[in-house]
Amino acid sequence: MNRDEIAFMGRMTARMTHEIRNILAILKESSGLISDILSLNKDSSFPHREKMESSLSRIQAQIPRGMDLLTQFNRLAHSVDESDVQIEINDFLDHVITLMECFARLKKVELKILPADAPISFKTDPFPFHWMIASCIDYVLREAPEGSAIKISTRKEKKNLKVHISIGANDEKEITSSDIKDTLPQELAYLEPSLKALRSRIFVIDALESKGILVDIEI
Amino acid sequence: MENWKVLLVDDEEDFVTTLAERLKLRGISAIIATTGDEALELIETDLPQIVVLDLIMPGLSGLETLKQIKSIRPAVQVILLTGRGSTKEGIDGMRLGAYDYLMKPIQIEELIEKINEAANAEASEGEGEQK
Repeated sequence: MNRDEIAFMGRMTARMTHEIRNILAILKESSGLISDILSLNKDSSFPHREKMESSLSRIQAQIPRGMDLLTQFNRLAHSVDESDVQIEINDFLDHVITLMECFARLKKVELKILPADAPISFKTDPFPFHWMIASCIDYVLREAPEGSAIKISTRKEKKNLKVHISIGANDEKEITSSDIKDTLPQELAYLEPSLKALRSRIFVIDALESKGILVDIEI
Repeated sequence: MENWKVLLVDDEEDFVTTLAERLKLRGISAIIATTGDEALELIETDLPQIVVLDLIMPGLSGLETLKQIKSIRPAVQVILLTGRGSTKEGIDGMRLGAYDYLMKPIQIEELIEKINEAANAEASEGEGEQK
């Protein structure tokens, strides 16, 4: 897709998330009003009151879940608005992971962020950057066995940021050159045209206890 | 809180009517408008002290409505409702004189707290205008 087509998708998605947010706001206030009325009459009993209250709490518990997803989806939609934006990697990975969790859940895989100790901020083009990181997580997800966890860790090395997406227990161990088995895998070749603009390189990691992807970003 | 009147402005009628009911249950008098033009009329006829205003509305936008409210009655405190994940629109609104902004969907307790704060600000600004 070219930039105009992506911008169109962004505008449509942003508009739709706004509409759905309004729907959730109405559901929230309407269920809140029923709760208010039930609380005002808490001493009066009527048939099925308990079931009504438990159904109401289930509705109210789902609204923040929907809102959280919508907020992240809306952020993705707005990521096409500007092409040179300051991001902080822990915050950005939280955002990417929230949207990827439903894919992981289908495979019964857990996504875990091991955040960098200190904030790491840099300027990038947020939409292709999101696409690159999400594609790498998706690639590792395909290899992940059911019930496993994918760990996403970050660290800064001089002027580079390394994002390590791995299956296995070896997340704390420094990756050595012998662990790097390949550069950009064929399955992610479609990212190649974007990598230069993102000042990024992608490597396949196949260490003894850890398999995955290393994204090396010049920041 | 007793004599304050809050004007709720949002094109989603179901949202504002329900929110008005919830505020009334808590002793806050609330009136509603579903367009910016309707809100501007009520500002002059019903004299609310606080306005809770959605930013994205068809016709007169939230920001344009805010500007006009502030030019008609500067002491009126406006709390903006923004539906976006970003805070940019809320901050733009505050630059134009809004008291504060909240993200939709709102927490009723948070809205009431904000209304109380805004009403105190309105009281002191209103006194200032009278002097």
